Amino acid sequence: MNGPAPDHEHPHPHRDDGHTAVGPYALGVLDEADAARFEEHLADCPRCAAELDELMGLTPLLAELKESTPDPALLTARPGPELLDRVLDDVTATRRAGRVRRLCLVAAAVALIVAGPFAGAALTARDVPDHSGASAAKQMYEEGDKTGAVDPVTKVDATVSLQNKPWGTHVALKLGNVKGPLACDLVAVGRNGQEQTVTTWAVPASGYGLDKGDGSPPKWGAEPLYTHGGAAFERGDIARFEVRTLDGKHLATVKM
Amino acid sequence: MRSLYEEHAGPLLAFVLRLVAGDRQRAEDVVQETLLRAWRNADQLRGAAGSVRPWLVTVARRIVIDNHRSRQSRPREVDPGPLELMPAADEIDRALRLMTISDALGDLSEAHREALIETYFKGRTVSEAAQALGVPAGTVRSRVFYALRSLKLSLEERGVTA
Repeated sequence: MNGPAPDHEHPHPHRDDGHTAVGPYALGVLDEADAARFEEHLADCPRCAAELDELMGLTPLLAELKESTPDPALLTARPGPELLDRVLDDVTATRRAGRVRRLCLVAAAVALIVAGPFAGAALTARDVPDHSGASAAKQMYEEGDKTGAVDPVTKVDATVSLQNKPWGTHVALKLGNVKGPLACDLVAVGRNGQEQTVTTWAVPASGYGLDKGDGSPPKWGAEPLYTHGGAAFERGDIARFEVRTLDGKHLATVKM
Repeated sequence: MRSLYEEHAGPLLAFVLRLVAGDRQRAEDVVQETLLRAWRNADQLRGAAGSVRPWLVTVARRIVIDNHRSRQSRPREVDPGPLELMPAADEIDRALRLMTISDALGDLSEAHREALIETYFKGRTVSEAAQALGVPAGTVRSRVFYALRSLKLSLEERGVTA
C-alpha cells in the first residue's frame, strides 16, 4: 500500500500529520474549517490526491447503504442468540416429522448414485453420513426379511427385504437381470387392493445385474440395483409388491 | 444449519429489516422461515454455483410479500410497503450488493465501525462525533480513514471493486 499514513493506528496522537483527514474528507464529514485546511494540504500532497481518488470509489456504495438504512442502528443489526435456538428447534422438529419423507429422498439419491457415478456425483448422500449411498441401501437390504421371485416372462429378478417400523414397513429392493433404459417404480399392493408407491428409479442403458456368471470380467451393469423406500402399510397388510415401468408395464411381482 | 446461520443470518436480517420498515420481530420470523427453507433445500443449493444469497434474498422477499398479503386480508391492519411494485431482479442485485457492504462493515474493528456510523451514517461531522464519543477529533479522523482503507480491502476480497 502506498498510503500516506503509518500502518498502526495513530501511534502518536499529538503528531497528527493531516494525511488521515483524507478519509473523512472523502465522506464529506469534516466541518468547514477542517475541510478548507485539508484542501490546502491536498494541493501539495500527491499521496493524498491518489488516496482520495481511491477512496472516492467507496462513496457510492456507502451512499447506497446509507440511503437504504435510514436507522443507523440497523446497520449493525445482528440476530439475537434466541433466533439461532429457534432455527435449530425447527430443524429438530422437521427431522422428526420428515423421517418418512426423507427416507424417500435418500432412496432417490441412492438410486441416482447407483444409476451412474456421473449422474449421482452432485448428491453426496448428506443424509446418510455413515454409509456410501449404495452400501446404505444394500445394508438395509441385508438386515430385513427377504422374499424374492424371478418373473416368468420378463426374467427380471426382484427381491424385497422388509422391516417393521412404527410408521409402516421399510422396504429395500434388490433388482437384477433388467436392461435399460427404463424408469421404474416399486408399488406395494395391500390386501384391500390399495396401492402405495415405495420408490421410483431409473435403469441406465447398461442395465443392472446382467452378469451371466460365465467368468467374463465384471463390468458396469453387472451389479444388481439396491434401493429402498417405505410404505404406510403394516407388513401383514401387504399382499404383494410389483415392479413396473412408470408407463405401466409389468416387470416383476413378489407375493407375500 | 449452524454454518448457514453464521454466514447469512446477519446480512439477511439487515435485508429483511429494510423490507419490513424496521419491525424486528417480523424480520426475525422471516429470517427463521427463510433459513429453514434453505436448510431443507441444502442439497440443491449446494449443487448450485456461487452463493446461496440470491436464493435467500428471493425467498425472504417472497415470504415478506406473502405475509403482507395475509395481513392485508385482515381489515383492521394498515400496513405500508408497496413491495410488489419493485422490480424484483434489480432489487435482488441491489440487496446482494448491500449485503456485501454490510459484510465488509462487519469485518471492521468495533472502533472503526463505530467511527463510520457516528460520522457518516448519522450525518455528523468528525468534531460532532468526537464530542458524542468523548474522544479527540484527531482519533475519530484517523479511525474513519483506517475504516475506509479496511473497507476497501475487504470489498475487493469479496469481489466488489470500488
